[in-house]
Amino acid sequence: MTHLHIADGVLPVPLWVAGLLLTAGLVAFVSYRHRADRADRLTLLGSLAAVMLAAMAVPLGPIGHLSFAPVVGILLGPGLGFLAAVVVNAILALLGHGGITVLGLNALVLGAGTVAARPLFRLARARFEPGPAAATASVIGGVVSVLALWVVLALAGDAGSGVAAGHDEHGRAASAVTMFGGLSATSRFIALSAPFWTLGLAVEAVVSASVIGFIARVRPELLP
Amino acid sequence: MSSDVALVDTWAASGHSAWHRASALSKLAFVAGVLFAVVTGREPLLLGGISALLLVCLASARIPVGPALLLALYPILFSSLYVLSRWDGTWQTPAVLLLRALTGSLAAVLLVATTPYPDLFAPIARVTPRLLGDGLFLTYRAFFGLLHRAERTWTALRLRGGLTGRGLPRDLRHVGDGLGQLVLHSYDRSQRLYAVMQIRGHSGRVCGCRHWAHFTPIDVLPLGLGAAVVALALALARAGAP
Repeated sequence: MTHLHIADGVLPVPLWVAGLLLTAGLVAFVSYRHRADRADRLTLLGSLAAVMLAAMAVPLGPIGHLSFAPVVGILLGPGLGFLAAVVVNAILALLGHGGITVLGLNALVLGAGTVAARPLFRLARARFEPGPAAATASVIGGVVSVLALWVVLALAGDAGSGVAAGHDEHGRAASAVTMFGGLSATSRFIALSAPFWTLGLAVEAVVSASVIGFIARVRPELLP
Repeated sequence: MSSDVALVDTWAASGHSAWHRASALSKLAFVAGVLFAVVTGREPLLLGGISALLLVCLASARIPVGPALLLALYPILFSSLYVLSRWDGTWQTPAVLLLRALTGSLAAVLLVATTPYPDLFAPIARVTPRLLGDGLFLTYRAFFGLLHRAERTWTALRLRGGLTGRGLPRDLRHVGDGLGQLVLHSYDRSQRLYAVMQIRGHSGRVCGCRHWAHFTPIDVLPLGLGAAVVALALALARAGAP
């Protein structure tokens, strides 16, 4: 629940078009930066993105699952980690698990946590053992990801869906006044989703600490 | 989710319907047409009608409608909080938002359930940088290599008391250890795959197949339906415009 698969037709067109363009630009930039990499980086990208898909099959209740983005970000680094997030979101979108048009935004939200993971891990590693350092990177990276989602929803605004809706005399959605004390749609979403993503961040942190701690014991040379 | 990918892959590889025989490019055009209607459509009737059409298409492709519908319902589950936060007291707003999510998702499921992955990823790889296009192929391929290993790991964890359900932190640490083993297994597999690619003379592009653009008369089906959906969405948008 530290990321969300936004569906097609929910966000305004200019927003998801901007998301696609920004993601395309970042993918082009990362591909250029890694153009001279050996092909084993490519096979590692594919393998770890596959583990990310497998980890997402671990359920966390009815509307959540692991993202595994922090671990993949730590192991691959910001550039290839972002590409892994794009690849995973593309495959999920093709399976109907998140929209095709909003692939860019979903990738940016998940990718934000992936990109932040390795620098945060390195910073935390100066003070902590690998496991706790991974947990720290996971929590802060997860918060970055959640903040990116909130920015997307704030940009979408209250009329984001483009659906004709009932409004009161102040232009607020009618039920918002009665049910949520006049909160904006974004604030309502934050209030509704906060318990889920807080739990998600905690679970992701424990799992990330365990995975990185295991790798540090067995194959420490794989860690940055 | 793991079993979903395997299920969809089996549907795509084993079917012989008209949808399976149509080219990937014409089916991508059909999905683009449906997404146009999803993005522009504001009428629950239009979106419900397209969803019904997609279910008929799935049935005509001999894809089990129940499991396919379940797959397509995922985004509704995920979008429920978003839809609730946007609820304005009318039934139209949640209906349109949920139908948009369902329609887009059904179109995606029809596409992947009738198109083998090399044909599906090849046109995408043509327009994306090499790292991303090849990353899609290798991820999908690696996922199937990982599937049985992951299932064995979860079974072993359950049988050996690693997932008791009595202590969440303890269970999560064991899940982490299991995932750590999968990461190491994947790392070793990636090194072996790299060695194989080198031996076979890797040229810098993983897939060069051309089936995806092999047009036949059957392509009229997705192309015609896609055009009809776009025309209907445009006509309704014009009729509803002030």
